[in-house]
Amino acid sequence: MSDQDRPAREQLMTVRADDRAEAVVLDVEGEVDDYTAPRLQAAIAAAFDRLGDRVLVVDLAHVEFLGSAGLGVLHRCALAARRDRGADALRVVVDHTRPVIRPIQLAGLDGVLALYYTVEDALVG
Amino acid sequence: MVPCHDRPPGRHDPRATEWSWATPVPELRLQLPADWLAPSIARRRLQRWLEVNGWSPGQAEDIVLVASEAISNSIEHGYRVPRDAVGSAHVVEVLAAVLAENGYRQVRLTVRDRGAWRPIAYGPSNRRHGLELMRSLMADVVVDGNPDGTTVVLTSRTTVVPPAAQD
Repeated sequence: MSDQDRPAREQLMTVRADDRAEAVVLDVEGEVDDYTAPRLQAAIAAAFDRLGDRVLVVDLAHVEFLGSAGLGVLHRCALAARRDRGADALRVVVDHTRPVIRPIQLAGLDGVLALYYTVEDALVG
Repeated sequence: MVPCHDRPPGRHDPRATEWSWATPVPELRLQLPADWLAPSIARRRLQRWLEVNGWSPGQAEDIVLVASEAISNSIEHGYRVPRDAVGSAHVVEVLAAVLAENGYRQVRLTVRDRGAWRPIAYGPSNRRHGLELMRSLMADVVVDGNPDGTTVVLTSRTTVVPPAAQD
């Protein structure tokens, strides 16, 4: 197996945090699988820690792969956010990205997550 | 085994008129060290194989997703590999083959580990989501677990062979 077939964890997924006045926006890029999902969970937890009254927007528009591990993170974070901060605190942007929206729908999470098409929509709420 | 051609018939392939999709597509066989990079490696290899063989992006996505889930099951439940392990003495085997008949075709994926079997339906929520995905995206899912390991056979939905790829 060639080296280019063994990507580094950082190459598979990046999370960039954008702290704004009204929100923290996490821009997730790449592949969310069992290998990378713990970093997504850590990034969401860290954002919640400094969130205050703001909302957290998790932008998945640049995600190319979302497996069950990523679904599990989103599910757990949405339930925790709802319990601690109300239904509106965690907002997820999915665009029309098929590799993202399809697993969310198949797992029935479209009824659990607050989904938006764009970051702008999510910020308005 | 029919001789493998180095590439499938395509619009720019001068041999395209000489053989058809009835010609068996070379199988994809992977022997992956059972660490947590294995699913991503398999996704890339399988994606390329599906593209080369003319599967639509949507069909390929579904097949890649369930393959990734099945391999993750083997690593987590078959071998219980720690998240930060690099490399592994264990191996997950993946075989992808095309079943074609009368202008219709399916992909059959076989994912095999030699680990101790545990029923995945009762595992953590990640794996439950994974099994849901497999069942909803595939025509058939067979999980055969025994003390020597687990074999998961996933058969994709039947699709029409694209006209451009037929005789």
